[in-house]
Amino acid sequence: MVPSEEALLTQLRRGALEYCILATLREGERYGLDIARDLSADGVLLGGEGTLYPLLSRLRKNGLVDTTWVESPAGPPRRYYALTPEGRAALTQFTSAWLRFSAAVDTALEGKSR
Amino acid sequence: MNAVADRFQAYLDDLARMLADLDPAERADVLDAVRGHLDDAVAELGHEPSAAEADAILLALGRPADIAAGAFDGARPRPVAPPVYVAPPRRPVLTGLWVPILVAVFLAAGVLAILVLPGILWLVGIVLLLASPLWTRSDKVIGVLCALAVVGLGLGGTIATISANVSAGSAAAGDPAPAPVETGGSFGFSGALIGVLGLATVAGLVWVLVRGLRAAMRR
Repeated sequence: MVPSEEALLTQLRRGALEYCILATLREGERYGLDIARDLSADGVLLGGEGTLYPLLSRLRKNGLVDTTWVESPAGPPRRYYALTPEGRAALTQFTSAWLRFSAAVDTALEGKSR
Repeated sequence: MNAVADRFQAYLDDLARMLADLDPAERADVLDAVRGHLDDAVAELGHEPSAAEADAILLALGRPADIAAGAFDGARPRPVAPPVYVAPPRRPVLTGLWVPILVAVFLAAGVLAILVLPGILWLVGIVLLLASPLWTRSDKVIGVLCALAVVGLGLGGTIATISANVSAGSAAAGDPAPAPVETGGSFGFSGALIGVLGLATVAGLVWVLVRGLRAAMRR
């Protein structure tokens, strides 16, 4: 049975998506909707915006992100997410591992198609 | 707005229900975040959303089931603790089958406690009996009483034998023997007493042996 592209994406997201969330916070703290819009723009990383929140909750539980409440110009206070030092270190680690991994996958796939 | 608020609330209620089995803190965290997302989406519009706009917001958010699946997906493969080597429980000291057997034999040896070696064995038997966790406190009391009775019977028997020999010797020397009826009566009474005491003692020793063996086999 050949898995569908959507099923493959779901599998591939598992290892990488949490780090993509960390990456969106590299430049500074952001609120949930803002991150969700960013990651769901192309529909590859996030299927629905809501699936971001269990991941954020887990990242917070694992000490990789921190949250603060900030008054919003419009509407109720917003929860902002920011990288902790551990989160930043984990992101650096993942980035280096990912570069090796994706290069190896690229090489393997290209070699196969040749 | 009421219809939109109701729709949002129904969405959150569905999500809350689907997250019912999640860790309560994580559940509250996810629900708060999704509620905040809806608030922000409405605030972003700058006006009260129409029904179509509310639908678009919920559509972008995705089905509650997908959010719940994401929450449980991460919760399922909990970090597995590395297998910890657990040493098999060590059998407590003095609980082997040999303990009740030695105790019974050594206590029985008390019948010859007048001699040095059986006396020492008898003492060892009592120490084993008191030290081993195989017996309850009342078992131990019975055991010690039996052990004392064994020594008493042994000493009594020895003295009786010696005195019988002495009186037999003096009778042979021509001294007047004690009245036969009196002797017979006293011997009959004390003999019966010794017999009953002896039987009770043997029964007590068997009891201690059986209780000890049973306790040892249960471990």
